[in-house]
Amino acid sequence: MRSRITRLTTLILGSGLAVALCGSALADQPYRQYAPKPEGGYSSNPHVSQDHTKTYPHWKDRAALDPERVASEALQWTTNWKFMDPPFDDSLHGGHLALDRGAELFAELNGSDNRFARCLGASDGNLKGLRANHYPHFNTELGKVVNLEMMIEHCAAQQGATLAHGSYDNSALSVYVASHSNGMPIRIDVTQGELKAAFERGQERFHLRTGRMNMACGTCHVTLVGERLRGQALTTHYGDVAHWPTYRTKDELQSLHVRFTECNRNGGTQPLKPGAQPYVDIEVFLTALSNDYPVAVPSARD
Amino acid sequence: MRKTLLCALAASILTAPPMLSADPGLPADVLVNPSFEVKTAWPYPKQNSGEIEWRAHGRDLTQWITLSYEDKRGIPQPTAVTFQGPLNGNAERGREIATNVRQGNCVACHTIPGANQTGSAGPSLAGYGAKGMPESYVYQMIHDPRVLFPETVMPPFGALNNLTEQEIRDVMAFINTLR
Repeated sequence: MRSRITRLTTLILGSGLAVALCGSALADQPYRQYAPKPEGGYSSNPHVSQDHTKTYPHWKDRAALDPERVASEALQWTTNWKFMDPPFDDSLHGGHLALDRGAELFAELNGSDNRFARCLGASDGNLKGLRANHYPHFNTELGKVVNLEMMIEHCAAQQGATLAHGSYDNSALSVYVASHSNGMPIRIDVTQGELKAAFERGQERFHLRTGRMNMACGTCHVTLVGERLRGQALTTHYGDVAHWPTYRTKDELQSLHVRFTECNRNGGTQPLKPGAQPYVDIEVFLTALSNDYPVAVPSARD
Repeated sequence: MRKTLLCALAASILTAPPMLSADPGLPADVLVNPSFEVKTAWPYPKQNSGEIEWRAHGRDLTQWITLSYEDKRGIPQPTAVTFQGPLNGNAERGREIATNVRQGNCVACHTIPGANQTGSAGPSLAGYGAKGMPESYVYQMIHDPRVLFPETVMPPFGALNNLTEQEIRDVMAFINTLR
């Protein structure tokens, strides 16, 4: 009996001490939950081949997808939807119209002095590799991590033009810029500096449960990957950023952040504005998980 | 790490579960249009335009927590509930709630006989009524399944204010008819 009282006293005193020590931290951290990370977690220097679903061999080479696997109801998800990317799918769709529109807008904004290309980071006016290797990055002038669509909005605004991040024209221009990286492997360095910090924040946000359903991005893309939600098969988040912006077959040209707003709404979470810090951080996280996977636009998705 | 665990332990013992705030004071980076009846907005990229057309979502989501760093609201910790009979549920209303995307949307994850485009994330509900599960168990599962399965992906429909007490009873009455 005495020892039980002692244990109880110790517990109460110990708990009180813990609360005293952590009181301020607790006040700052309301109760939230996380979806588990893939087994073994994430590398600090990710590569697309580290895909947790081990499906990477099936979608590594878009030109060599197995048509039987693509047509299989049970196995299609293991191709990670790459059958709607060029060159496997070279049919004409709304993404091609967006590419044309983007080329026109770019010519207008770029003038004869390459002012728009230079503002985007192509000092010699050549857009090659900009999408694959330059975005997202920490912009010292703006003092924050930016993605391509944020810089398109920023550079257009410098000329008095409105190309809001998430608008059709902004995404069309982004598709055009990305087309100059077609076939080039994505490479961003998240092992140091501001991108490392953004990568780690993005990883945390990706697994943070949220909204009325208490679901995280990771609930679908890690815990439930390969299962179906409302008839749709859930796929890996590795290698996913390489085809954005994309043409959705419901006839909507979507940037990655616009897709995030739809993901959030589907999962019952109030969406954020395109360019919001959590979205930028999640984009950095996902881009690192696409390291060494080639850009392919114009693409389509259901 | 040890300190974090200790803090979590102390918190779970000594603090009451935080409630969803009625007047949250929304973070600045959430996508809302205050002039909409349903405040939750989404960006529609209308063709050949540099401007976004803001549209209202089918449901106002502002009462629930977001991914914003400024969002300091919490969610209720797992909460045990006690079922009090009789059930008094309406099975027909329950079917509507379970299969409607704006309500319970159980069908998104569970196979429900007679419903289309179902999911496989949760077990099939076919024959669930014949399993003889106690009402107290089913009630807890719908109200807050985290008490029974801490890592579950199933939403706490009661604890997170998705379904009312009566709606939970209606859904219970409905799945009891699945035999």
